Amino acid sequence: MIRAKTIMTENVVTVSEAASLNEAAKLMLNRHVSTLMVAKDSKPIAILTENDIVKGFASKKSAKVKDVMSRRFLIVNPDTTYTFIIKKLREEKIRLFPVAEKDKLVGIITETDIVDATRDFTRFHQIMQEVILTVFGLVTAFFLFFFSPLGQSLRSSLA
Amino acid sequence: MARISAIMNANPLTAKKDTTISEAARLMAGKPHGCVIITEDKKPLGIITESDLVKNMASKKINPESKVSQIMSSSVTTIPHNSKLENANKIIDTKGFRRYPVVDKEGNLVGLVNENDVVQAINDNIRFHRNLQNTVLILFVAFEFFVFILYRYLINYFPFLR
Repeated sequence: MIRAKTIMTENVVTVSEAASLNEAAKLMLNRHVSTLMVAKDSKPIAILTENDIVKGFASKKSAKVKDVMSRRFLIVNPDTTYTFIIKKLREEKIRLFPVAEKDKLVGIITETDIVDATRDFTRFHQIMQEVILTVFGLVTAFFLFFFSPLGQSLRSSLA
Repeated sequence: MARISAIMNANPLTAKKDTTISEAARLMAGKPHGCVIITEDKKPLGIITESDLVKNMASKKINPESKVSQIMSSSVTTIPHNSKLENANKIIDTKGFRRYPVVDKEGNLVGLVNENDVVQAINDNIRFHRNLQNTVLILFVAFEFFVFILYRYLINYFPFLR
């Protein structure tokens, strides 16, 4: 079972809601992230994505973070399963999952993290498939040998 | 076998190369696409993503009223619309971008595909195949046991089976 705590990014960059969009853009660029957490009194209240900044940029007025920030996210706890997150991503198109433990923000799961986790998951499935086939092949070969005339001596020595 | 055309977004955002940067931003605002593809005669010329705009906004190097061709990435990596998911995944692995224009045989733009869609689709395929394989294996084992039991019973009546 893959849990949220194993796939999340622990380094979350926060911005205050009174900051200007230009400051937020600079923060994204310098810290190499595509998502900022908007915090008020160290509590996460909203999220600022690249799309929100573009939205503010398009509306032309000197927008602040609080005018464009979005609340389209789902707070999960560190023990939420990967399956649940994927389900939410597909059915409700939620792309951001801040991870919080007792109201304290401990990490965030973005689309990049989900892609990485899915790649690992796919590889695991492929390896499992190979293992099952190999074990099955060996068992079948032994079964056929044991009950064939060639396995006669083995059968009689066991009896 | 699933192809890229089955999972791509068939309505990508497109713009001509003389579009201004702020117009491109207005196109992208509030849409999930995350990029605008710059086309000329339906052929993809370049791509401009949300992060390009954010980068430009932070550095304030280029006036938003200038043309998109100043900040777009030209030399776009495209994926053919009939390529298999595995081949698309290989391209994505080597290039490392997140969004790819999908083109047909003549090189005309037909869609947009992002990394997550491809990876999720491959994962679904693998899971489906694994479940199918396990079902076949279980049926095969059941059949083997059935034949084995039947054989011990039948040799009493048909001596030539011995």
